[in-house]
Amino acid sequence: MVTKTEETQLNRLENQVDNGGGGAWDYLCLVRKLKVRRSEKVLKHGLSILNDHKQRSSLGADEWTLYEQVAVAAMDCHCLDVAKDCTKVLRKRFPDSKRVGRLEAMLFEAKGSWELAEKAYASLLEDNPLDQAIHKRRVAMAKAQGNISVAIDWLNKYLETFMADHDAWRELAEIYVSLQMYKQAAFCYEELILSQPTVPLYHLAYADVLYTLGGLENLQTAKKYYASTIDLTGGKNTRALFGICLCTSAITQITKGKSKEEKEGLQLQSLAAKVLEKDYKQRAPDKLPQLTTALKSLTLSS
Amino acid sequence: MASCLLHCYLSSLLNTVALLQVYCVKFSLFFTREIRVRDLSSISQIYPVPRAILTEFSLRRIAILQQFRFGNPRTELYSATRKVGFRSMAEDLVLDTAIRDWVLIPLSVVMVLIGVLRYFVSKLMHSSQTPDAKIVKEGQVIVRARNLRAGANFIPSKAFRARKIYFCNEENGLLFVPKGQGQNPQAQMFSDPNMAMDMMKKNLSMIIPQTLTFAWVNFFFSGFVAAKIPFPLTQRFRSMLQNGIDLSTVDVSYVSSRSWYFLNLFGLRGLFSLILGEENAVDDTQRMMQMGGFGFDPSKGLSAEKDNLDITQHEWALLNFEHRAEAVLRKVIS
Amino acid sequence: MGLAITVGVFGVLVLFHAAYSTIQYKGLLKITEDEFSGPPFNVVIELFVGLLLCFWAALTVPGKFQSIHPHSEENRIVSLPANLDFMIFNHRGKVSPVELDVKLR
Repeated sequence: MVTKTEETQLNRLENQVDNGGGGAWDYLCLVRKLKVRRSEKVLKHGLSILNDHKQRSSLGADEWTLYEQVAVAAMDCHCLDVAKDCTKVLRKRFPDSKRVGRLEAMLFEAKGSWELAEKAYASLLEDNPLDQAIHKRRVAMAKAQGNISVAIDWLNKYLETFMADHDAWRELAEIYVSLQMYKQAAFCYEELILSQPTVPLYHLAYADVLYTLGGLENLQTAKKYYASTIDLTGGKNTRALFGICLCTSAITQITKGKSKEEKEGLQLQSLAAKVLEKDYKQRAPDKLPQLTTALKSLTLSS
Repeated sequence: MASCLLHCYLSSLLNTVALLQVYCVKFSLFFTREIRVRDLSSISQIYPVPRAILTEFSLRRIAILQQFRFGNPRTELYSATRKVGFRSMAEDLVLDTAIRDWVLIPLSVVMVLIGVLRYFVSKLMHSSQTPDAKIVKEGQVIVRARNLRAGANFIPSKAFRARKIYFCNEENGLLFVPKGQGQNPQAQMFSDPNMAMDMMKKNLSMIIPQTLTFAWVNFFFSGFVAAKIPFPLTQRFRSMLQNGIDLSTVDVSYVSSRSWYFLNLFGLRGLFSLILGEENAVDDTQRMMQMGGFGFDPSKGLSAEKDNLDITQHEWALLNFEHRAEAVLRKVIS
Repeated sequence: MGLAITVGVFGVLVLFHAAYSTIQYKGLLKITEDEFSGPPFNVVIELFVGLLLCFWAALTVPGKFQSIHPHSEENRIVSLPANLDFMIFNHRGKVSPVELDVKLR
């Protein structure tokens, strides 16, 4: 989870490193800790550390972690030579490590030689059939090849055993959303909310899915989840504010403002609209007219 | 090295003897008020201690002790007997510095060293066996069910009910363990030689060194009052702190050497986590508990979790979130 | 920081002085053979001053308090981590690979 403070810290460090201000190692550590995907920068700065003998030896045992990080980043950037060299260095240091074996298989993946990669993963799984990372790689490989249904199958099979792995649930949810299978996606997001009830982004995604599903009940539920997102973020999530507006107008369209409850809902909508306007005034004044017309159309339609 | 150790043992033996004699003298002073001990050698005459044991070493010890308490041992010995009574006897036990040097410190050091050694031995014997898929799955089911219980109020009631049935139904629910299927851990152990091996290794790294050290401590260091803790304690602690001393008159804040061993055994965890790193500390107390539990039975965890989930009521937390969100937004606007 | 530590040390010293005074006072009482009912008033004042100073230092020296609100800057989650376990490599970046002249030496 990346919090606001961490995000600002990351951006600051990135700026500093890009402008040659040093602190590359700290930056790489932060990237690793936050699990963000900055492959290009990791590759550039990681390589500069690895090529500098003095800097590299000052890392101690972390040197090998850096090699791994750079190797993955290089695969992501398709600098296969660098990835290969890094893997070789690691293989030389750890001759029978499974982790390096995984890295080599990933290299096959990056090259696009799927059969070889599959074979490598299969042999790794034979040694340890409960290796979560390798199961996940197989899912990713199916996805990369475009066999989404196969990926879903693998993922479901994986989740049957490792059902507390929320990363996998998240991946499954995203795949389902990409296939427009919203009911299934909603289930996955419920699972995510259960495992981490205080993460507003899961509430938000769940609300999005419910809103897309439509129907009065789903819309009302979606509105509640947008509201909880607002509560958890202190009203700083623009998407949730828009969601409130959209949900309310959709609900009033269905019920035609019959029940008393909807009146209260309208109040929340107007508040959200006000906050949106304030936000836009502060951060993007030139987009304000567009916002007002959009909001007006929402309230007019009700 | 060996000779050094031998010397250590011998001297601690001597210590024991000397201390016992000191107790003898002290108690004689306590019970008989009129003894005049003009000469140290007369101690052995009044109290039939074998002459051979009363070596110079122990004599010196008694002399030191008496000097401390009574002034010059040769002259004013009996003046001190005036005030020796029940209370004062308990209060001013004087511990020899040699006890500190030869009992307290060696015992602590040895305990630490044994802990470190045991850590490395258990690391050496540690086998990275792949866990059984079924066990892994059961663990994950329990985690997920626990999540469901904890976060139940954050999902709509329909979703919760569906999950509850999925976990708890009596036909094929995930948490449902059919009767008779819960394996007897004993039988499981016999069917799986690996498990028996594991148990044995655990015992090797835990019980054997413990018995050995206990025997060692008992043999060489028993009977010492090894330390005094700097605060008073109630009588309840007597069995904890004065294991091996069967005297009710000694103040509870004095710690016998055997108790010092036990205190070290259970109290050194913090030190180990400093030396060996946070997660490496060998936790004896925990292991003791495990020994009591003897073999963890996963099906028990499943059914316990099922009972918990069965009584969980769903009360959707999000019903009033709209009002909360309103309050938040009002705050943002103002 | 330095100030806070100094204040803390001073507070501890004040506490010690209070303890010492109490002992002195007790010794005095022993001589006059009075009953000890409590430390003198100025010692009590001293104790409180020392306590306050120590409190202040202990709350200042270790650092700032962290927020427990979910919507504070420290706790507000703005983005999820990239799901790196499921990272795929044949994305659109493959078409335009990074031009990098450095190699691992």
